[in-house]
Amino acid sequence: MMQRVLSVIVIGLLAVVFTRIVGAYVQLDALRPLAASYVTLSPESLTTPNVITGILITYRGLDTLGEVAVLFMVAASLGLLLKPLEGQPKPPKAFQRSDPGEIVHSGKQVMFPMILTFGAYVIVNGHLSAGGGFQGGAIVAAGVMLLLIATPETRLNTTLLSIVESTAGILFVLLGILGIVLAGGFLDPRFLPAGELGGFISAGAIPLISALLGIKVGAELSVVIDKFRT
Amino acid sequence: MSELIGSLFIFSGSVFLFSAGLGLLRMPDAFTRIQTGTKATTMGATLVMIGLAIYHPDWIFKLLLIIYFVYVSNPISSHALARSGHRLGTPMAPGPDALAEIDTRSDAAGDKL
Amino acid sequence: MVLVFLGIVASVIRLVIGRTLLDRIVAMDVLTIIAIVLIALYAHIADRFVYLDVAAVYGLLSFLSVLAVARFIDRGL
Repeated sequence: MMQRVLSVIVIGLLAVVFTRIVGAYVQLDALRPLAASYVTLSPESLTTPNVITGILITYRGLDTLGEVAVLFMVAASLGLLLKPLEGQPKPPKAFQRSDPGEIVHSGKQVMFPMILTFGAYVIVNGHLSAGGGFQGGAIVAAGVMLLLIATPETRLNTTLLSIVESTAGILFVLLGILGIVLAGGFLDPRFLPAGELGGFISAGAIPLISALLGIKVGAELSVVIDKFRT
Repeated sequence: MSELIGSLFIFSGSVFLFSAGLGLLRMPDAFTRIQTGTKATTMGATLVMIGLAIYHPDWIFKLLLIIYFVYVSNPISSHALARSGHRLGTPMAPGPDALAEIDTRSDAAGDKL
Repeated sequence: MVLVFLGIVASVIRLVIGRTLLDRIVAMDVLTIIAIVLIALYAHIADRFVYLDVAAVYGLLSFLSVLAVARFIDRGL
């Protein structure tokens, strides 16, 4: 009884705080100066019409490096925590995974290449329309999850995936250092020629960096999903 | 003229979607609800996309991709859902159960979700 | 448009009421497909091509989530 009264009081106080924050929200008429400079500079100096990818990879490149490190740490710690111990018995026979049937199997055979192609499309189109490295990598990992659901006996080659992921991370950092050497700062993509706005080969090294990010995230999330199986 | 045809397609598509929602409310049983849910929504979404394709002829490739996705994936997921539901022993409306001998119920009959 | 919204209201009601687990999952599925249609219609209204990518990703999401939940309630992952 006392707990309920207490929780109602806490929720009431939180509601008061939130209404004050929401009430003080003023609709901005124009962008703030920093955002305006990003929006105008990105198509001219970086030749990418997708401002978000430009900000993620160039103007805030160190944050992307931090995200890559965080994802790698997550995958490593999950691998450590979910490793099966030697003394544990295997689950009993009646609890084994059931076969989902033939329709799902055929459906997987149709949809899996399509999902992979769609993921590759989203990765590669990072600088033109909505997309980018992280998003495309998540779609690729979703395709792998479909594979794991439809045929539960697949064994993913986790060592190969880990090697691919680490190589992609190393290449990403190397590209960043090339940015320092050849152009402005870390991860500056201007050291490759910038084509015209909206073309496929344009925006300097941003497609390369997006591709590396996508491969890395895709391999990582696949390994993470695989660890969660019994 | 093409706008009129496009609007007609979009309208019929939304009629299908509304009937899917209505069917969800009024059907007597979980399995019949699955059936009306997936069939009607897939058809409705397909019709709406075709209507949009008539409106903007240069969007047609991406719209065809979405139509293909929804058309192939929705029946598969509903089939898997109904199969699991039958294995779990969800209560069915009275009528013949054609799958009773082939598919055995699950052993963990403790919690009927 | 109004009909689509009424469909949303009806399926949300089923989502709230639904007696067994299966009802709620199928209500979720219907809601995501309706969301795809809404995004496509909004892309038509605002006349931007890039919003269709979002609709495609949503299609993928609904399919995979229903499959995963169906496997999960069966015998665990």
